[in-house]
Amino acid sequence: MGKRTDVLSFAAKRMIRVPVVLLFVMTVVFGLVHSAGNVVDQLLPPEATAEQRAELTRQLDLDKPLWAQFGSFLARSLQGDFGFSVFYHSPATSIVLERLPASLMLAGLSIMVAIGIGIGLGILSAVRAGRFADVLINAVAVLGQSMPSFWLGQMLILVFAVKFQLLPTSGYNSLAGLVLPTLTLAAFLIPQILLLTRTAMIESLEQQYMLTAQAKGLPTRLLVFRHGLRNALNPIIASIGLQLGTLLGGAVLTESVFGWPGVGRLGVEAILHRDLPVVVATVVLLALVVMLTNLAVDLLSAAIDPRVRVS
Amino acid sequence: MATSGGTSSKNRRGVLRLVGYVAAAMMVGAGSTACMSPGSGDAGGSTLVFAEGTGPSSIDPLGPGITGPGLRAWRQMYDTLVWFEDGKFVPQLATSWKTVDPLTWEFTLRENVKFHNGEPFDANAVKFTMDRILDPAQNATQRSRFGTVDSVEVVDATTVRIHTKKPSPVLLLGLTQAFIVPPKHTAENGGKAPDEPVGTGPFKFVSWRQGEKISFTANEDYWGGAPKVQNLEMRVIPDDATRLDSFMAGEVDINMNLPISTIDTVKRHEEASVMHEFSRAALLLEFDTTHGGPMADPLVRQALNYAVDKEALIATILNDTQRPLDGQVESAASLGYNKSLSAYPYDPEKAKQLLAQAGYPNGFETVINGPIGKYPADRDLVIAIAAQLEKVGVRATPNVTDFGSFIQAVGATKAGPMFLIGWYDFGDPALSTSWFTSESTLGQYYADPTYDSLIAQASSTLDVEKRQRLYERASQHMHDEAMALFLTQPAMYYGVSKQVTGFVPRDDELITLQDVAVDGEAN
Repeated sequence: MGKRTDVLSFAAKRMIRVPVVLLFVMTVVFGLVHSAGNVVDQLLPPEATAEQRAELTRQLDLDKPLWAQFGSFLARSLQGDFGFSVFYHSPATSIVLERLPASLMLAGLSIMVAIGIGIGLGILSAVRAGRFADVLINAVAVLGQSMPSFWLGQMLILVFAVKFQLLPTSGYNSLAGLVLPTLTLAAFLIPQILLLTRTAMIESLEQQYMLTAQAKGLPTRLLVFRHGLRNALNPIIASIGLQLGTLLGGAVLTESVFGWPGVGRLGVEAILHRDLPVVVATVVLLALVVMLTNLAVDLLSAAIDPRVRVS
Repeated sequence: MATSGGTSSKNRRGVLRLVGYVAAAMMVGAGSTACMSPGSGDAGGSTLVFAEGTGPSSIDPLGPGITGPGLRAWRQMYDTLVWFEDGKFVPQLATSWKTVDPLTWEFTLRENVKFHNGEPFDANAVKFTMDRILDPAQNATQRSRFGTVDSVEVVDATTVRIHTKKPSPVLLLGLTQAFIVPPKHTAENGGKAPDEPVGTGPFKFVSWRQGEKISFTANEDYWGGAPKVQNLEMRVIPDDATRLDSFMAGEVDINMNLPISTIDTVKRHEEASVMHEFSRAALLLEFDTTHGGPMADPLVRQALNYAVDKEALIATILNDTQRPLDGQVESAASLGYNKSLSAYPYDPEKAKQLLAQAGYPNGFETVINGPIGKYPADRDLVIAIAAQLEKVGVRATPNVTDFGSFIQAVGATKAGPMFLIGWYDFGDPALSTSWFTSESTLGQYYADPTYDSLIAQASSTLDVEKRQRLYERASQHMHDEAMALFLTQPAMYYGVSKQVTGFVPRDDELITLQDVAVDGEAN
């Protein structure tokens, strides 16, 4: 009984944060857009007449005081209306939503692959701490962490697509097209998960209860996974949650290298095109996705470790 | 504790199983492409894959913001009344045309042509298309090409007249971009551009994914004969290196816009060749001549032309991929090219002498603005030019920014005293000369009455010979007054697979693909 209300009140507390953070994000975005210069000049072609300028100024409420502009920006945004894309000539929201699945799919798959490989090797490394396997895994992890993703992506393309022609170089056509971008993104995550797992596992394996469990005569496999990993899992989950934002918005380089039609690339291209409505829609929607996944991660941590609920 | 531990390990197994599925699915996917021959699509028959760095911004062929990639893509599935080939206009959906009087053009239309959905093509479709372009609410990019058009009249099913407010020598050129759309199909979609567009062109629309690719299939009933390939894919691969990799791996048959540094790599490839065509374009530095300062003085502008070593820039920075302009904006293939002009030679002594004569014996300080990533090696060019000017005492600070900010500054007349820019001529000097008149819609940098008057006369006469003479005089005047620092004529480089035949690069870069074949592939 008590556990259930605990979880609910914890969830409620966490959920209240979402609109607060979102309001903060929107304030920052609004401020940045306003410091980026006259929107009317950016939206209209250079040959536009003074009447056209005045007309658009009225339409965009730019003749109103700043607080009123902010109010109408908030009101419109809440209805999912971030304005009309200057470059694509359609609503900014629909353009971002159209690109979002490609990014979510890539990020989701990369996380799964990274979790599988990162935790697996992390455990191996912890169990064999100080021995050859551990040293080798650590060396590779450090190497992996210091490889920039655009370089790794290019190298993977050269080897697997150009040299051996096993996989397509780029594109969003087939499952095969997912392999290289997924590996590139995962390679960026794996070292972090791996090193964190290793540290947490070593700590967990040294605990008194492990000795007890060992004394009970539990087989090593059960010992490592049920007692060791379960207790080491929390910091790992928390760190993965934090990485999600980087994966979605920060996959720009990977998305560009592999011609992947995701939101990261969309956002950067929108900045280059001075397409402010799309920039705003990208930032706000990504912020929302990141907040919701972080909320999910918080709730998951709370479910796994009761201490989180209390603190 | 024990029960929740059990749940957790079940969850963990669930996750592991999921990872396993994904890995298995990826292996299967990988296996299936391994048997696929490069460049082939999913549908049957031969497939031609074309790739460039950007794609169309909208599915509407008569919408706003249509640039090169859009014109290139939609050209494959739409026809226009006339088309431009080898320096002259050729029939497409119009079989012939004549001027009834200086303000009336009459077009005879091709008979028995159908849109891809079976809708017949006739005079009504032409009127519908032209009215759509001229409707301000549609905001069509092509509208600016038809500023002089008064009305479009259906004479009978195969005859259309276009009435203009004043003589328009550039009407035919504008028509090469007026993609004919089907009235009924468009109306059924509430007047918006249909999601499943149909045209009369050599290829039929299959699908489009923004920023990824457009797929077409052959229109077997095309009036000009069926295309040589069954399927056409126009892919967008923004990263230059990846686009080159895709080409090297055989996934892409034609790779547009090879970066300068990769041309030699492609030439060495056994399965590929490099093709190029000099563009109807001019890369130059524009001067702000209307706000005083050194640039208002023709002597200074001439001096700067003598101070820049064009040949050296081309040999070192541009790897010999471009050629110098002949001291004018127009190039040899263009109307208005003046044969008697040649490039300002590199002569730093003469430059110093002219600067002294203009009252700047010790040079002056100035700024060269320019974009990054818009033209080949644009940033390096600006820096190298600044270094060359330094040798004659002109201390120029290079100032390069992203193209968005740059073009905004140009439009607001804030890009002076000089800036790097490239102008296209698209088959007629009307557009490329307009930027140097006081009527320019992109910044007020010039106000030269002689030039203005020559251009105004040239753009309102229908007599080709007379226009040629007027534009030649305009070129001469622009050269003498050094209204720009003439740099280079750019070229477009393509990587073309050896399996591809029939590909012809065009000087306006608006390539057509219906005559291109892909052989040697058993797909």
